[in-house]
Amino acid sequence: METDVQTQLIVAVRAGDTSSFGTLYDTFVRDIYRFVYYKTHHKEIAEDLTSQVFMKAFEKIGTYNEKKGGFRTWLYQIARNTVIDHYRSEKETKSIEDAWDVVSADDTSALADKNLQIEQVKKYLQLLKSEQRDIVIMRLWQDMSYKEIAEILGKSEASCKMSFSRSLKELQKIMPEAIFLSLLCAGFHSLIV
Amino acid sequence: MNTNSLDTILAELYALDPSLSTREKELREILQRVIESKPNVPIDEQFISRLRSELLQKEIKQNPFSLFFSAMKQNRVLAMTGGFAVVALVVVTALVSSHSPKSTSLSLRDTSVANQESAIAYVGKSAFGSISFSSPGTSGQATGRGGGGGGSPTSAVAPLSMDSKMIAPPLFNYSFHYAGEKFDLSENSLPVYKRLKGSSFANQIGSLVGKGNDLIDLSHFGSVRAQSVYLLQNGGDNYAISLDFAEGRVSINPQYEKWYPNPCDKNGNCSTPTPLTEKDVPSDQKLIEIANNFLKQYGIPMGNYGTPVVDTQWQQYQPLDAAVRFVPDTISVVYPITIDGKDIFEMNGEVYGLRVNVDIRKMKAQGLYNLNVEKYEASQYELETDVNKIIAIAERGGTGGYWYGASEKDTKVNLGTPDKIWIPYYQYDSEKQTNTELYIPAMRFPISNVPSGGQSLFQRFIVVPLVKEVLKDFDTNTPRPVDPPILLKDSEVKTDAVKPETQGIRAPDEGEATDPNRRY
Repeated sequence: METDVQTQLIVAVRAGDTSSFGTLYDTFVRDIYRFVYYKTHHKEIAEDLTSQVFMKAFEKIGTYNEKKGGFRTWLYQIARNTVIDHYRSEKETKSIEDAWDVVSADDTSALADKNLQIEQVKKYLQLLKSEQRDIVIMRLWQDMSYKEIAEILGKSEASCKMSFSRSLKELQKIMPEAIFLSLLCAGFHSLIV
Repeated sequence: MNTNSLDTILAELYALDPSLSTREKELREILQRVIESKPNVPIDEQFISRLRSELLQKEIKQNPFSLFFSAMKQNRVLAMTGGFAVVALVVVTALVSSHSPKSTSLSLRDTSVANQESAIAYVGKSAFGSISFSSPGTSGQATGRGGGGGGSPTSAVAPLSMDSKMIAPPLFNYSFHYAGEKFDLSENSLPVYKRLKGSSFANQIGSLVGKGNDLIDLSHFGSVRAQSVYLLQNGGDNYAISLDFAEGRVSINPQYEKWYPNPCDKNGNCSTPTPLTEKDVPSDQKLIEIANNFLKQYGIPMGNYGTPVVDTQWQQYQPLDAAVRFVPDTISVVYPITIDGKDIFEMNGEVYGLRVNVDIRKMKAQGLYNLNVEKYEASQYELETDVNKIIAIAERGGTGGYWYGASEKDTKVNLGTPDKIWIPYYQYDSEKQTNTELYIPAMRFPISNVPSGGQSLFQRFIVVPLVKEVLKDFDTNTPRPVDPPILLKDSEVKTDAVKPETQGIRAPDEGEATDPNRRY
């Protein structure tokens, strides 16, 4: 959605035109839902938290400041904070910020959807810090720019790039074994076929 | 993510740390694995719709005056009246709030979906509770808006396009027999739609009235909301606009004293307008043109409606005696509505929608009915799948039923292959005194083989609801057929059957089936 159109819609919402919020909602809801799902791995929780995100956005739209960033990044900020609040309120542990931080022996396997794709990388991404992981998710799974990521996290672009770089280096340390094994298996398979 | 994007990411990393370029192969592999592991997230579109509906029913805390003037600019229904005056009949039903009320612009239709279908929120199965005719707490089905009339039981009722000169024709006895093709009812459930009536504009109006009048300080009453507002246009076309916030409905009527002044002078001498004849009836094209121009002039959005058609039901109510046959002063143009892609019809099978009444003497739009808040919830309800049962009920007259048993005379009438439609169904809760407006699936059977002189058959269709709960009530609560009225019992009906074609009004001929695909 073009920025001008977005701005007009926000102005209209502030003036009382709720239908304009519907247009904004239509534009962003699916991306926000996916982001929340990536962090919760659970359909019902993701739906509940997505509802909270848009309810908050609707109620607080008067506080949105265009100068601080785009509407999309503002929504992502709300989404990220909502997920953090959810897990902290449930686990009473400040180090828990999303489902990735939940120790598997606790309740992850029971609560999380059985998503094999997540399982493949979970053991690697789980070892990253929450903020590092969010940068990886937003950059690789949601194709967001460093500028947007920086606005969401309240950091500089350079800082986000550095963090992403460090994340890859850490993944590099733990993933080579898996890569070696997968290459080995592929080579063995080619011998017997 | 494609290779180009991967290259971009790597380039960004190398710009930051050139040493990483020596391990490109591993980095590329890692990035590829993470990208490929991106979960496929199925999105429940019903959740998306439901949340949207909930959000758009919320209100924004704003200054009511700024919102009012904003609404005046945005809202076409109010803007159309030009220089209007708020007159006496403002009915306030609660108390004025002393603080800024929650309010927003009157949104009769979600403008973000203008020219698209109405807003639908999908809720759980049987979410509207029991919709049985005889469910506890209800006083049964409210009268539907069949027969070409407009309005709901709780709001201004549109006058039927008929004349008091009409004399009831003699009654015939009919028996219906299904002669259509084989059909099946394979769907176990279909959505029932519930119209969401309220408008948050009511709170805004209530607050404004509270602040703006000199008679009484309504702030002492706390929070108020307006239930209905009646506005009179000053000059121009002299319309009267009724805004019913409880029903979420707008209707427009003529200010009768301006449109139809007293025909009698002070001496009691009254002038009688010349009766209209069929020659005075404008063409359908002309009637639709008048209605379209009216809607355009007053900014009534037409995007959510289908192709307009002229209501010709008045022709069905013609008496057999040509001498007393009449042409009504007003003829309606109907703009069909759809809900969630479903065509909606009246309970008698005729088209349903926004109605514009055209005064054919003045060749001018006289009024408008059924301009509604088009927001709905949809809930799946269990359907009857026994075809034979549906046909049996149709042959007993469907929802309306026929009054009398089959006569000894040959009055067999055929029913053609049905089509699936949705019809209004009202449920009045006597305990809460609320009227719920639903739209339920039904089968519509066209009537054919109407005998000559059979003008007492005032319908072209037999309609049978499909929802099991509703069907059960029609099936058992009303005995069919009923005994004829005492005056007609054991008496022979005599009439000089006059073929309608000789009077210029066309009725279905014997052997001709009503085309169910024609919306009128």
